[in-house]
Amino acid sequence: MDNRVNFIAMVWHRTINLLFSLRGLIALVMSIYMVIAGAYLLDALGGAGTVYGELLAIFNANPDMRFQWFFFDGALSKLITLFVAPLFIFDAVSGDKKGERVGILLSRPISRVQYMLLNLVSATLAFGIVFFGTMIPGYFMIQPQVPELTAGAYLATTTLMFLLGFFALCVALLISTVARSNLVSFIATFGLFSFLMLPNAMKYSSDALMYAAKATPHYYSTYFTTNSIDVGLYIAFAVVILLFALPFLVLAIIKFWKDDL
Amino acid sequence: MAAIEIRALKKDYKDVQALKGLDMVIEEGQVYGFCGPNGAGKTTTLKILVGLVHATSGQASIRGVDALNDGVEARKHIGYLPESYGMPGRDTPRKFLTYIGILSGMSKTDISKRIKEISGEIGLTDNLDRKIKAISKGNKQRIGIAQALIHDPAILLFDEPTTGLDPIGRNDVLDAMRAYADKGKTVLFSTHILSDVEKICDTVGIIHEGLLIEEGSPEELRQKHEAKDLDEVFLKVARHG
Repeated sequence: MDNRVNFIAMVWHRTINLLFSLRGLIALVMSIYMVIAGAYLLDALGGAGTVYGELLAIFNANPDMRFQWFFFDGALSKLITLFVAPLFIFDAVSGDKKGERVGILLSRPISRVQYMLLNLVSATLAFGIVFFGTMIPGYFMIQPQVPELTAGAYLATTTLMFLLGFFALCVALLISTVARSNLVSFIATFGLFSFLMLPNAMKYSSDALMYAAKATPHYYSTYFTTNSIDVGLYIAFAVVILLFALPFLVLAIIKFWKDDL
Repeated sequence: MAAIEIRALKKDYKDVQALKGLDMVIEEGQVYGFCGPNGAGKTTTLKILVGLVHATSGQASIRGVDALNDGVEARKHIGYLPESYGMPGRDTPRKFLTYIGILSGMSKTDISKRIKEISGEIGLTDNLDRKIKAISKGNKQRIGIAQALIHDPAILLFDEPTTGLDPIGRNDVLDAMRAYADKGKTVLFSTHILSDVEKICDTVGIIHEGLLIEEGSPEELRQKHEAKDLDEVFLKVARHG
């Protein structure tokens, strides 16, 4: 029997399992809710006199705030990215360890690097399907209300958000590799992302926070929601986001490589 | 060519030396009972062969393939059943075995054929499409064995495969291991249930504090130590180190 590993088949099988699971359903429902909220509700929720509106006034007095900015930078697509993406991976390694599946899985003719990449690629694929599957229809909901929003600009900024999701997946993979339990991994992942979001959300409040924001990939993923797109800068920022992700991926693989299981 | 060859294998954990220079050679087609008290180094040895634990030093090969440096190639020849393991309870055995087959590099057609063959051999057919969580412990162990066999490996490494099973389940597992050896496969299984060893093993190895201190057929060991059974051999050997 030929035992060459078919990585694509492995990834596809795992992706389907992730999508057709409780977590897949939760991710889809969250994404749909956020897109609908982004398209129809935030305008009202962010108005003067509301809690959210007050918070925006305090933290983020951006004079250029418009609905397009509001949709992307204000929260919703970023929330999809940062809270939906880790759902697909926060327990990837910790869950296999805790559930005592890792011994069976790694006794197959796959390397530990392949196992880690299998987790990452299938989670990225599952997240991408949910993310673009809801964000693309979202364009058709939001565009009639914001005639100046073009499909190209929407897709471009959405793609940077997807890359931010990839960053989130790499960080969550590292946490899952280090954590001994799914609960710890879950809390650490979502806690870290809540923390990382803050400087960017408050970047207009002070110069210090602007500098802090620039030290997170969030700044680069949301930059073009308030600035017109320049192709060179766009590509550079996409690369910057991936470079933010890379050390976490490498650390996760090294950690897992060294572990006795 | 030996099925498994281990030379001067050492494993140091932070404060414990689990293996102190283990030497073992297991020929093809044997059932080898790997015995020893808890903490003797049985599980560590099996995990090193599978690549789950890194050896500190020494050599280990599987059918001539360096298991320490070329683990992926070595694992093509191995079917492994861990001492304790989990399976996705919501999946059916068929779905679980399909995933394991994919991880083993098999095509869907081969996997389907193989699932049919194995489930017939080990009595899993009736449970193939039930949820794993609804299946009894004995039958779960059958699924565990099936996943080890899915890619038709030449060598089976079973870690305490009969622990926790009732006498019928235990007997079934032992019969299955003997049957696979009779088909030419090599079976290395760890246990501290010496009656199991006596029943099916060609060779017995006793490991104590990280070293192989006795090896031979059950009959040879009984004669050598003038003992009525392997329990007595084990007690004599283990007490005297």
